[in-house]
Amino acid sequence: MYRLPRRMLDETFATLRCCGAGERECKLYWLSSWRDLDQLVEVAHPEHDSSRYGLTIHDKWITKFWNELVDREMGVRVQVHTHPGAAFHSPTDDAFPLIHDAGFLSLVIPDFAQGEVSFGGAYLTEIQRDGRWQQVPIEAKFSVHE
Amino acid sequence: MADRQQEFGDDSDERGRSDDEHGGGRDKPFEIEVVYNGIAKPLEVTKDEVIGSVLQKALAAFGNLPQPHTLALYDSDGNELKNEQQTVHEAKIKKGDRLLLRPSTVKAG
Repeated sequence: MYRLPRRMLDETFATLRCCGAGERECKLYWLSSWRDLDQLVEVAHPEHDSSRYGLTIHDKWITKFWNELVDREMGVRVQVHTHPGAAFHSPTDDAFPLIHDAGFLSLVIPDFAQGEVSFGGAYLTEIQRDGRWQQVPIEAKFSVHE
Repeated sequence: MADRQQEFGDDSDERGRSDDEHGGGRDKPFEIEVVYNGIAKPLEVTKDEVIGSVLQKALAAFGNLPQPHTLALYDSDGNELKNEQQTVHEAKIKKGDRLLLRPSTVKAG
């Protein structure tokens, strides 16, 4: 189970709301060190183009980020993005994640993250060993702490 | 000369000697690193090896990731090594170089 500092949850909602402005999807990543994998420590907000119904991460940002991760011994554990309405995983979400490892998590926040800062209405899914995504209970994967 | 040898790995052609004269020459492996999600792994390649082969070895080094068709190799400046028939030499990959194993496209919808 990942330990998620409340400040990261607050930062996540603040970023999703500010970037998406209630009109566009937004995406970010939760990182941890490879030396303490379960302790999430940082939110990364990628450069991206976005609309009400989708987004694309900038190629140059991925390159820069990939180099930084290895230099800082950090890894991406979770992707988080918003939907305009209900939270679910679309075929595009399934097909084009940043990370392809079994165990990688994808959290979808409904209503452009305009609701309260919580996992209410959110959808969490995980890459299985065969590469397929499968919904998993949020409370089984994250422990929020101060 | 020593710098050039270092730059291109052990390359007997660069020094005007045949491959046989230099105990394997062009086919002598040299090490690069491949990175994926913050982990760097060493990979031995040869100058005549094609990029497709390097990609397969990189995928294997990271445990045969699911959906491998979505991943590609890039140089550390972000140029995708698109031509899988191109050799390591043609792609200007040198000893100690870092390659990025990463998805070509990242989207949500």
